[in-house]
Amino acid sequence: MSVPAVQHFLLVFDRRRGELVDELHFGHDSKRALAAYSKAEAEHFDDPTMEIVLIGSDSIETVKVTHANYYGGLEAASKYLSGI
Amino acid sequence: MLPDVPLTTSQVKKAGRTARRFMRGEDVSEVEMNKALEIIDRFRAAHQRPMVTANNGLRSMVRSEGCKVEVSQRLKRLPTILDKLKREPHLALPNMQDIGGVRAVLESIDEVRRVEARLKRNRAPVGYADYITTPRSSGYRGVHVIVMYGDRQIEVQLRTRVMHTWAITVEKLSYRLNENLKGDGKHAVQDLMAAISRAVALEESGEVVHGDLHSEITRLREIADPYLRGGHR
Repeated sequence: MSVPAVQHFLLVFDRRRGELVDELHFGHDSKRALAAYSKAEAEHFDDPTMEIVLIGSDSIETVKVTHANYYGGLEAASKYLSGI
Repeated sequence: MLPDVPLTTSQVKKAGRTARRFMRGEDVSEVEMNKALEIIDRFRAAHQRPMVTANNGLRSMVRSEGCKVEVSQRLKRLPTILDKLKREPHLALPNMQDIGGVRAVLESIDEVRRVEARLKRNRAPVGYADYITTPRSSGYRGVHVIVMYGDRQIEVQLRTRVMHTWAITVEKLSYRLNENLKGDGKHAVQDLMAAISRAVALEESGEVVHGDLHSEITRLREIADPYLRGGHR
């Protein structure tokens, strides 16, 4: 059985505010996602506060786990990580 | 749109060298740098299709091992590619192994080892780092396997949820404190996170966190506390 096709998401994260400011969905259109990635990076080339990244996954829910740093983080997996 | 004409290895090498020279302040014009950036962008884009194949393959392997499938791919950010060129002066751009990366978050070390074994059986790795057996001094843990998909190197990262949560915490602290805490370093927060990594590694292996380590974490947390209180949440 095959796995679901990869969907592409472009995330724009404001490092200074610690907030995701844009989340663009390109579905399975890899070429359009790549072009948007290059364009967004060029627009923010001199602005290190904006972190732009192109991620592909089966769903945005999975991205929220694998790249939780751009979202609310994850539940502490140990008491030692709790409250940090 | 990015042109479809394939790049030669020497074009990519030259673009990497030009970008590095520009960043060092050597005699490289903006026109030359822009041309180099365009080639770096096209070189990166050439990883997209192999990375999708790697992503599909990894999800299939994770599922075959009976594990929950939490897998994503990412194409390395241009500023990070440039940083790496600057940091590693002898690294030729065509040899950068993590431009295309695929990550799986798994439940246990046993699952990581099973998926790792399946991955290695499927394709002979061209690079391998076991940061579970030998963690980075930062405390980073995980397994990195470099595999060829087509003519591109793709880095596969395998982590348990505990390792992943630790790594995400470091990333979020880096944003909050506006410092890169991901590498190996001596910032108070890095010292704390390295000690916490040792503790969670013991917990993950079912071992007891001894009193000395527990006290050390308490002490380091007090030292890091002013930083942990700072920045946004």
